[in-house]
Amino acid sequence: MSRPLYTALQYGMFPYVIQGDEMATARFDMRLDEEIKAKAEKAAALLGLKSLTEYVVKLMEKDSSRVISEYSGVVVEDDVFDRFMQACEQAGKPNSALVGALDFTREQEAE
Amino acid sequence: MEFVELSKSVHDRSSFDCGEPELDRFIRFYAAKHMKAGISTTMLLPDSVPLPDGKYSVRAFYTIAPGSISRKTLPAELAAKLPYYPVPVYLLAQMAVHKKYHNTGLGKITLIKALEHIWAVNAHMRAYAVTVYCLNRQAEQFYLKYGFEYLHKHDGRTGLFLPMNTLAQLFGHTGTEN
Repeated sequence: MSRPLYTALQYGMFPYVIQGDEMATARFDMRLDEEIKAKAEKAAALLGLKSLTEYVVKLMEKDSSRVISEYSGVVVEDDVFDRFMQACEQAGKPNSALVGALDFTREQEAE
Repeated sequence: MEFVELSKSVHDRSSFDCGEPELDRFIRFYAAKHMKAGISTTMLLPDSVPLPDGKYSVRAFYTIAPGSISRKTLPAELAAKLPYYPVPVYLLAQMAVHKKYHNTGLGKITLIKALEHIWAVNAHMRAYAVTVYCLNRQAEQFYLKYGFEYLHKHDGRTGLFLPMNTLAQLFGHTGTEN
């Protein structure tokens, strides 16, 4: 099945949208130590990958997803999650300290 | 009293000292990188007078980022009730005030500005709550005082949250006074 790599519409809006296994590509040059390069080439060959680039791209994809999810997503115990959702739904009024802080901020801003 | 987006060329990050090395390191080395990578947004209150080199030192800053909370196990009948999963939240990832301005009320102003910012973003991308992971006991006391509730311990830190519905009441009722 052959489709154009991207249509003009996609290119304008989502240049890196992945459709099936077709992906628009961006360039990324890097310098690396000869020794690391040789070792990485060996590892790439052992994994049956076609090139060092393919190996680097695979690693980057895997690791950056991990870093981003570790940074921003947490998994909590079931009871913690349920209490959290309940608290969000039945959320009460802001307490007096928070209302006071807002009033204080508005006063300072008015000056 | 206007918080602006961190800019490497305008703001002097090296002079920031809040007394907590981890937060100082964050604004010095990571805040701009994280912003460039689209991980978080850092807003700061610059000094009114520039330094001799023309840059402005930082009085206070806050960093916000999108985050999420997942349940360890998710039975299908519960999953069906959740319109968004993992549940979206906003993370108050970092917040600090320069030592020079401690005990001036700038901490609560910075908190309000951060919450106001999150509230504005929430109009476009809904989340359930604001979460914060406290670096120490003092920070924990600060957020608890303003009504944050206990969530859980994560990586040795106390995680707290403030429901978005509470923010709705805070800014909904008093936000248009002035």
